[in-house]
Amino acid sequence: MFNKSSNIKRIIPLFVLWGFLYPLRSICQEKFLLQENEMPGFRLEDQYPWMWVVGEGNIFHPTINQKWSVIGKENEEIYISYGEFKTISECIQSIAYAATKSYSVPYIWGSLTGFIVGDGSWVGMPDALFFIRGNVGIQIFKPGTSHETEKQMLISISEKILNKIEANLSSEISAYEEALKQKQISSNDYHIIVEPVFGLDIMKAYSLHSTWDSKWVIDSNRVAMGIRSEWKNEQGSIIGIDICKFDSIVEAQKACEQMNKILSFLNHIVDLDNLSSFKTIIAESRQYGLERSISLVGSKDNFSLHLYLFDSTGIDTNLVFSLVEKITEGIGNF
Amino acid sequence: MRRIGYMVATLMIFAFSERAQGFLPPLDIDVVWIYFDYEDGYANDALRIVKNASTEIAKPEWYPAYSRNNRFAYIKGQTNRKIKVRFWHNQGEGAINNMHVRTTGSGYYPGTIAESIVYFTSGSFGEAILTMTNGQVSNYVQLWGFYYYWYVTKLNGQPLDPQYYIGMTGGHDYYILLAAPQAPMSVPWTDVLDYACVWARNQSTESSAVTKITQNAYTSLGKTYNGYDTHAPVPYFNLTKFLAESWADCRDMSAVVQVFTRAIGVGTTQVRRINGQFVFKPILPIGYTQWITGTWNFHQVGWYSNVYDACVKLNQSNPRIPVNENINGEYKNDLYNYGYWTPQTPTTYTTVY
Repeated sequence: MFNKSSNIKRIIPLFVLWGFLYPLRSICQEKFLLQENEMPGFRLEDQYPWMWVVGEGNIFHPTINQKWSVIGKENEEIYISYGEFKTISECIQSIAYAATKSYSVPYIWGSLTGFIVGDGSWVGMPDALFFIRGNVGIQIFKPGTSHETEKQMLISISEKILNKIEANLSSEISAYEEALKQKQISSNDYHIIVEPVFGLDIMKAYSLHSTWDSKWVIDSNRVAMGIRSEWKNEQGSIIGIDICKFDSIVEAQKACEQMNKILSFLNHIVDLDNLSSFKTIIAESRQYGLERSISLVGSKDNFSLHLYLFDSTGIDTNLVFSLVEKITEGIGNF
Repeated sequence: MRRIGYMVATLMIFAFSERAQGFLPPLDIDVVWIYFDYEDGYANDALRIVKNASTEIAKPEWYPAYSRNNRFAYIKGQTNRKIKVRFWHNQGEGAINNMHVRTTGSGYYPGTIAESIVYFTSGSFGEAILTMTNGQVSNYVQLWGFYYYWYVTKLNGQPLDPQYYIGMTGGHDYYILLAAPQAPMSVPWTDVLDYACVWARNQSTESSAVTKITQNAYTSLGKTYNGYDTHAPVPYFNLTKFLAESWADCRDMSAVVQVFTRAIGVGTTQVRRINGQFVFKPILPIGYTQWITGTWNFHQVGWYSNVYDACVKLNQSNPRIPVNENINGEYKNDLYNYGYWTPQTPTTYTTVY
């Protein structure tokens, strides 16, 4: 026996829900999803529609969620969400919102490991990771009691997914990235800019760990490509330097403003001609309990800089000051 | 149907009177099934409930031939609940035109069936809508059960002495709600009522029920806090996944307060978001054993004119689960340390799936 009128009322919201989840079939393609044979030691428990809150918090973006369990440790679960966007800029801005504002606990820029994960990543210490590659966004999330070793597990899984994305990027996105590369700062120019940094004694303890193309959103339609490298010391401290070259000073400034929104909820913009301004940023980070990491963004001429550090013992303000000063000096060589 | 051991002996005695009235011994009459929710609405019968988003409650709720014994739901204080019952006899078509039945009860029954006539209009089967009288549904939230003991008092209008004992039905477990369930859980899930009616048992007011559900959601739901994802981006609550998984964030727990209380009939519970970012004082998140501090982009709580927060305990020196607290009063004082604290307009989860 069924109450027909109640049934209909109950079903209508589900149709609405299916309405916005339905595009999932065409947008988020299965080509990016990890399969069980690609995840030895894990069992795929479930795969189902999910959603991220993106835009300015008013858009639900359909994604696919996978629930994995660790074989032999059935109560250990890992969730992976896959979301595909129309464009690279939409992907970066959407994931930035999702990562930095849509969850109660803020994600922090980077991976904090020395590994550059995709075109950009945010980490929820130490058991959650958001990253983007091209027009694809990924969230890996391991709820429960966390250990540092699990961070490496997340990085390892992210590498598998990155390989799948790399092999399956659409031809449009690949062509767009190729076009960005034509205007990318040259490797030689990048090294000229960062070269003064290596005159600092402290840098002798750091070695280059990873390098990747970076993406700088200029506006909702345009993206520029830079170069980003991370150096790491034996204690696990990270120094990351991302430099991008633009067609104009105005573009460089716009891109800095966009990057500032992408990184986190804090202000990261520093006046490269007045380096004392970064002390305010450090002070604000510390007030929010973020004394172990910092990100600074600034532009000079048609170059933009994103400098970020992670130090488990706390950020050395003098080191940050020296690094910004030296990089600004390097940009001045052009 | 459970039989009582002495029935055989009773039947031996009864056979003589049966023979006298033209029935072939041994007479056998059974209750085949019982509907507690047999029609639309709940003016006469039980409320419509479902197991969850995808599973109906099979009816008739009590149907032993299918090993079925499903729960049903009433609203506190209801009287004269009706049930639809099918009987069967073994005397062949036309041998019994009608009978009178009554019940006694044990457990927490909302009334018993006074002597009522049942017509066998379909061969050896007869159905009747019977009314529970001499009692009422309790005046508070509960998950209770009862047994009915069925007796035939007359056959074809002739009194039986002794009355023929059919047997016992049950246990009939039923939920007692505060009031009519509210959207988005206007058709309550038993997966929710199994928690809500136990957590809020013996509560007869909305405020005390919201308090108990908030406190028990924190202590008894078995979730562990993780703020890196959610099952409940307003206005959608993926309750199916939430119940299946071990983790929860503040939005999930606020949704529990709203949805679980509305399932039992609280009309005005909502959720309220507090925008940050802010650094919070030491808290004991749900499922945690250690007090922590940190930064939140925002926090979200259950709302019933005041804060009902099933996600955290506050005040390490004298811990409490916040219930009925002013959002800018003691609650803020014990949670907020530094940054922005901007309570938003209360809002509502409208879709649960």
